[in-house]
Amino acid sequence: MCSKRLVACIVAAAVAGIPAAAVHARQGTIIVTGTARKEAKRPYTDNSVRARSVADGTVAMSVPLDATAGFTLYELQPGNYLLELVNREGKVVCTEGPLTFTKATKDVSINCGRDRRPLLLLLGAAAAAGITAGIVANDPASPSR
Amino acid sequence: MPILIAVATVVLAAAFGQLPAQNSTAGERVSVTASTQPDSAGPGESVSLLVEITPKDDMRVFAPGARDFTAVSLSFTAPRGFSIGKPKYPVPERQTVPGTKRQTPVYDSRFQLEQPITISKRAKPGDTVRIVGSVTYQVCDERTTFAKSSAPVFWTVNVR
Repeated sequence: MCSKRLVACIVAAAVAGIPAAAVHARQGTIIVTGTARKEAKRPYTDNSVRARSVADGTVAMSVPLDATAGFTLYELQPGNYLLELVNREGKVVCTEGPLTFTKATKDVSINCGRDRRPLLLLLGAAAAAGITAGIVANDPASPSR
Repeated sequence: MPILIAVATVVLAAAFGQLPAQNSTAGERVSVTASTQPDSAGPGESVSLLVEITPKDDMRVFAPGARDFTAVSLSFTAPRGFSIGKPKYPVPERQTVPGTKRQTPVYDSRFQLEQPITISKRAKPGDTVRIVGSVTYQVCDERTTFAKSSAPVFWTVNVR
C-alpha cells in the first residue's frame, strides 16, 4: 500500500513537474504583448519584433509577428528595451522606445514614434519661426544692399 | 524500497530541473553535460573541464562572435591556487538567424567547450575538488530568438 502511494506520488509529481519546470525556467521574466499593425507590411508573419536591451545592446528576444501583426515577448527580464520592427529583408523598419518594462505589459504599439508627432510639429514650428527671425534680423546686414 | 526512493529522487530532480542529475542538466532547449579529462591529476598538472552542449530539435546556440546576441560562455570560480587556461571553442557554423540576414556564428549540433585548468601545487594527493560554475547561452530556432539562459554545471577533480 505504501509503495503504491509512493509510486502514485512520483507519477503525480513528475506529471505536475513538467509544466512546473517550464514555469521555473521562466521565473523572474515578464510577458510583453503588443502590435505592429501600423507599420508592418503584409504578410505580417514575415516581420518580427526584437527586444534590444538598452543595458548591453544585445537582442534579448526576437519573435515573429502573428497573422494579425501581434507579438508576444514572453521571456523578458524586467529592464529597458528598444523594440525593433524588422522586415522580411532583415532591416529595421522602426524602433520604439526605450521602454521600461517592470511587469507584464499589454498593448504595446510599435508605430515608429508617431506618438511624438505633436512634439516634432512643435519643434518644427519653433525652428521655422527661428529661421524667419534670423532672416529678418540679418536682413539689414545683407551684402546685396 | 530504497531503489524506489532513488528513482523518485531522479524523476523529481529531472522533472523540476533544479537538481542536476550527476553532472548533466536537460533544459527545454539544450542539454548540458559536464565532465573532466582526465578524471584525476597530480598537483601542478593540467586537466580540462569539459562541457558538452546538445541543442534540441532545430535549436541553434549562438557562438562567440555572434554580434548582437549572447554567445555561449562558461563561468566558474577556480579554487585557490588553481590557474586557468584559455578556453577552447569549436569552430561554429555561419548561418542566418531570425531578425537579421547577416551570417551569424552558431552551433547547430552537439559541441564541446574545453576549459584547461592547472591544479594547485599545494593540493594534496587524495583531495577531491569540486568546481561549480554555469553555462550561459542564447538559442534560436527558425523563427524565434529566445532569451538567454543559464545552466548550472559542476566538475569533480581528483588529486592523485
